[in-house]
Amino acid sequence: MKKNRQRIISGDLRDLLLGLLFISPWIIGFFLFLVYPVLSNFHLGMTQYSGFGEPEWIGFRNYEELARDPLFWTSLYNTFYYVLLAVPLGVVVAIALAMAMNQKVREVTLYRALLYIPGIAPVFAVSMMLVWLLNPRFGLFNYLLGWLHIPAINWLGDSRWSKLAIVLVAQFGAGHIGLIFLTALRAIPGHLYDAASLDGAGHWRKFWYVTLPLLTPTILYDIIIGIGLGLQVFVPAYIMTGGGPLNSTMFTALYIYKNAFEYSRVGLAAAVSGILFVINAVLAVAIFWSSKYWVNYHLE
Amino acid sequence: MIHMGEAVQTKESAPLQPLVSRIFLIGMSLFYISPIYWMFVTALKSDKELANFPPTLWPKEIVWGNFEQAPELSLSSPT
Repeated sequence: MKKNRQRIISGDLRDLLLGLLFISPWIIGFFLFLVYPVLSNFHLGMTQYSGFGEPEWIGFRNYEELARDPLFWTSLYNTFYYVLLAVPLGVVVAIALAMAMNQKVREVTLYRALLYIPGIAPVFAVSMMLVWLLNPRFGLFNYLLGWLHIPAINWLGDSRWSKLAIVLVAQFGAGHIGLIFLTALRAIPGHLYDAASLDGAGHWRKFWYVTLPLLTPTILYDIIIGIGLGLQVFVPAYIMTGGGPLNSTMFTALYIYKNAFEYSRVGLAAAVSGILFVINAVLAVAIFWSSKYWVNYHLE
Repeated sequence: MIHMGEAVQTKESAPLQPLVSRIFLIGMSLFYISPIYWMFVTALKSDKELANFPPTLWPKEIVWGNFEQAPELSLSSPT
């Protein structure tokens, strides 16, 4: 009896080891390219390091210096401003696109393809195009606004509009998220709508009480991914504004880049990266925790 | 009574909804395709036309020279 039990345990252990062996390519990559860099980044954040020679241990002095640097706080403010604007707007645009793509429109596959294209184009290429489109003198956008008798907006040169221009670039990725929302819409069983119709619900009530609750798992996914990407927003600002005008688009990721590669302050940049990592992790955990109050997993 | 009224309402709004969706999709598609459209149109414009205001939506004269020059420029080193 005892012998038999031992054999089962050793069999389980063997299965476990075999399983670990099978997923080892992923585990090794995870530790080597994710866990180790994150930990070594926190170590680097405690040093003074120019990129050459040996890092010199200075404890928490980088963090003290950051607390005194107004540009660091500006960059955090800009990043949160961007995330708070771009992420909810992205959810709304993506749901609107998905709802429209779910209608009985014959040539809908054409729109799906067209809306998806900017999502697969490199962000830097879309940003380069936007520099032309948003040009205050020769750009297409101001030309079209001129038709509506709206005076020309200096999108990238005016600190009131520059962050909105970056938010606008982010919306070009909404076609991609829109397709994910479309699959979620398709997964909603038709009988729920039939039942709602029998109860006398109109379009708006059907959307509010059937569609939206069943989209909440996808909204949760979009918000988590959106915050992760939004906190690291870099390419549009780097290409389109370089952090200007008046540091209005100096996002935290750009602040990291400038410190690390322009001012050779790798230690300081690593400290900021660590702070950004912690902020992202805390927000992700907080949203996951909050999800039990507003995410509906009824279908699954 | 209520049911009859609603049946009429849905009948009216049924053909309207795809139309609204179609207009919305066309508008958004034009917006989303605008960077790529602008890229190709700009590539075909002459240097002189690029400085025009208001910008031309379609090149007055199509210049293929930019495509001829691009490989030469990318091959020659900048320094």
